[in-house]
Amino acid sequence: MTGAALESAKGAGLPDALREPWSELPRQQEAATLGMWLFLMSEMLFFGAVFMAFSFTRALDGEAFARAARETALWYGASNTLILVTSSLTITLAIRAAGAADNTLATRLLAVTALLGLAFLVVKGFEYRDDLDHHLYPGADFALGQNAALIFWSFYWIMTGVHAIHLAIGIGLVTRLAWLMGRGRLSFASPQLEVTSLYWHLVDAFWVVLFPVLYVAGRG
Amino acid sequence: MSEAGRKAGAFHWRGPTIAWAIMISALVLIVLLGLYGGGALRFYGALALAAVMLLTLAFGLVGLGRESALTRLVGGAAFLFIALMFFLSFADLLTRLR
Repeated sequence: MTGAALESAKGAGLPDALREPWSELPRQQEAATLGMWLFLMSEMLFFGAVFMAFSFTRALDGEAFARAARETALWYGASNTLILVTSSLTITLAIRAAGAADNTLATRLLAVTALLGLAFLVVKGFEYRDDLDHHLYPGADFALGQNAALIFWSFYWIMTGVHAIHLAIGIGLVTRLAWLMGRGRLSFASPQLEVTSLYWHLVDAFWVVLFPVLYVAGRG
Repeated sequence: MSEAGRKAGAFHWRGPTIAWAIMISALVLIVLLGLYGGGALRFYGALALAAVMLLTLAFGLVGLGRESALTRLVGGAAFLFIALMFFLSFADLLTRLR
């Protein structure tokens, strides 16, 4: 956020974004961003551990993992990647619009971002329904019948499920920001915009790794 | 745009849009690898393209290069710890396979 944008926020009569104990907005922005990065670091370590466990077990029986990966729905995964990458663009443009003090455009772009996130969950819901119909879930009815395939599909449900929970939280956060901005109750100088966009990008980044690992790399 | 907006500066959309186009191109290549690629090319190719997408996201959309040195240090530390985790785990795996 530029100093000129901060001045514009004051001039536009929007609520003051400055909070205790900060005496100036740039310093508050820097602290909020660093705090968010520390949180993202802990998330990266969490997902990193899951990816590591997946890679470790895949290295033990690559062939069985490849057979199990062939049952994933490539087009569902690709569609969702397209949706999520586009949502990362719209939230970036929303931040840029806020930086240019264009409140209306920023609000619309935030709303589009939330809708794209929702579209991802809808597509994922259809994919989950197909997976359940084909008995691709751990349990007595598991369709593929091999231990390694069972492990692959356990990872699939855990990784995509945890990702979907993160995305649902992100949709809530972005919707709140769009609502507040639309009603003129959030300054475009607020650090909430940038930290929320960082969280959204993290959710996108995890999917960018999940998609080739689960849907593409193992297909034989 | 309002008077306040004109004072704040222009709305720059080209950089993020180019980054998005690069990511979509990488996605198309990943899908093509999934459909037509074979063996090691599919595995390593898909992961390499995912790395390209991640770097484009980090520097083109997140703007990691414009963050403070302290923020970049925190991000770098996360990657270092993940790399260590992978290295130690696979070192353990290789000793078991021998």
